[in-house]
Amino acid sequence: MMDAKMIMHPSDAKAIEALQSLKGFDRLARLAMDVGYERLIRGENLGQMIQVNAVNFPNVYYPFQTVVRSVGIIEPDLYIYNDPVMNAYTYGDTRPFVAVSSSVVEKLKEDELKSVLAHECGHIVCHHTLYNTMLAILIDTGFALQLISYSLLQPIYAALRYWSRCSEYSADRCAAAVVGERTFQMENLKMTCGLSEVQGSPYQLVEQARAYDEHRTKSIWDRMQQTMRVLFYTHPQACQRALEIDRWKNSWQYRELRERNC
Amino acid sequence: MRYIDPDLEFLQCCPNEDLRKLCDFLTFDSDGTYRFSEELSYTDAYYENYPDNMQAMACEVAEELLKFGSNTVMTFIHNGRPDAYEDVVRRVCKKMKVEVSDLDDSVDMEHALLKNICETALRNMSDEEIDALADEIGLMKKDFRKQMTAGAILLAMKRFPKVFYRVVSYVVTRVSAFLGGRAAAVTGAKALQRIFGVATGPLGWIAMTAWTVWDIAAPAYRVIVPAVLDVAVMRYNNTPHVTYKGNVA
Repeated sequence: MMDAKMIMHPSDAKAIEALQSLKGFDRLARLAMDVGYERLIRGENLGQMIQVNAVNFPNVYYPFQTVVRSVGIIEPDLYIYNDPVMNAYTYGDTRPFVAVSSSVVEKLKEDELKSVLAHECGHIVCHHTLYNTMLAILIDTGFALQLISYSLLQPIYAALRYWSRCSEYSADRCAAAVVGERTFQMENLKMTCGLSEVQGSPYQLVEQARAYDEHRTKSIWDRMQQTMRVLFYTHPQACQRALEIDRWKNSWQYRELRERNC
Repeated sequence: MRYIDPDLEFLQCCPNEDLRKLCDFLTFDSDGTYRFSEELSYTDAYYENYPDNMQAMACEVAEELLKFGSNTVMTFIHNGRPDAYEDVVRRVCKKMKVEVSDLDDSVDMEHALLKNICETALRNMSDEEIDALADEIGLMKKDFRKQMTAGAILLAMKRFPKVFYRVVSYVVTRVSAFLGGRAAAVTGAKALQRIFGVATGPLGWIAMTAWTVWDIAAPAYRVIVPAVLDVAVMRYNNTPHVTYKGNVA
């Protein structure tokens, strides 16, 4: 199995370490997920989506199987849902699943599809759903018992969103490790513009990220403006994801994971 | 070329392993998890150079050390520039109650700090540890009592620079637990004082919040005390021409 420590963004790792210090709480959250949303959503998936297997959609299933083997996790269920927006998501910890939109299947090449699937498998390796649920339980309980005031909720949500963005970087690293950073960049480009063909360099978002960074750091006002704009984003901006992987490709973790093909 | 504190320039010439050890210490806690306030592990320099080309990221390692040793609020006000290494060492000496003069430079203060740590450690060592240390530095020992062996080691430290640094190396590797205990005691006392703050009403709450923020932003002694000791040992090992005002020259 791919070592989660190898792909985790430090900020993501720090947040998870803090949560891990609550001994026994992870088991409780896992149980809550198992009897709660996990079963509920499984019903929804089976009822409303198309389950992918070797017979139905083998062109999606076999790349998925390769990715699962590379990452080294127990094969989750895979579904396709009807959506013109290119997207994918995962949920669950005891019996996780991955769902991809029809548009992703339609518009991406096999390697790029693998990149999307590997990203979702990265979330599973790092147990992001579990820790996200734990945090949600903690905050909701704190609010319900009046331990957390309403005025404190916004800063807490902002911190949560920051962690959420960092957890996306970890999942991106998993994708880059499985398919290579160049393929990841191409997939990121296509997911950003929603087109099946992209012209020019796969690294155009990296260049854009540098321009964005220059704009963001021009003055304190710009810095504040841009920080406030993305404060509650659940995902990092596309250009920042591109830049982060472009930086991480120089790390020993990336080299090692690519050398042993995860 | 990136800025590096003149007192830490020698880090650029230190062996990879020494720098990696210092970098790991600044980045990871004793249980191998990331330190909550570290910022080094996601810099470009870290991605590009860790773990095999550490000399190329000596500036970033030095800056991280200084940031741990400075007040975060003050660093922010100074546009991200932390205090000088000399200030950090002086702060560490004050915290460890090591007497230094205003005229002492970083190297002298490091030396005073090492000497003090060794003497404290020697006083607290068990008979077995003293024996082990005597063996380590090659001290001919007979059936001495603990105090006599410790006295002999102290004397050898004053007379022979090499013995001094062998004792230092021995002690520094064993000093972390002792420092950890001290830090925990200090934190406990502060938490207790803060509980009293709650009883003093809204003004007390405001003062308490400001106090807590200032405390969180304050230098992280659990990190910088061992880190400064490590830097001092590295300086000795890698700059043989270094001289001190004290007995060791």
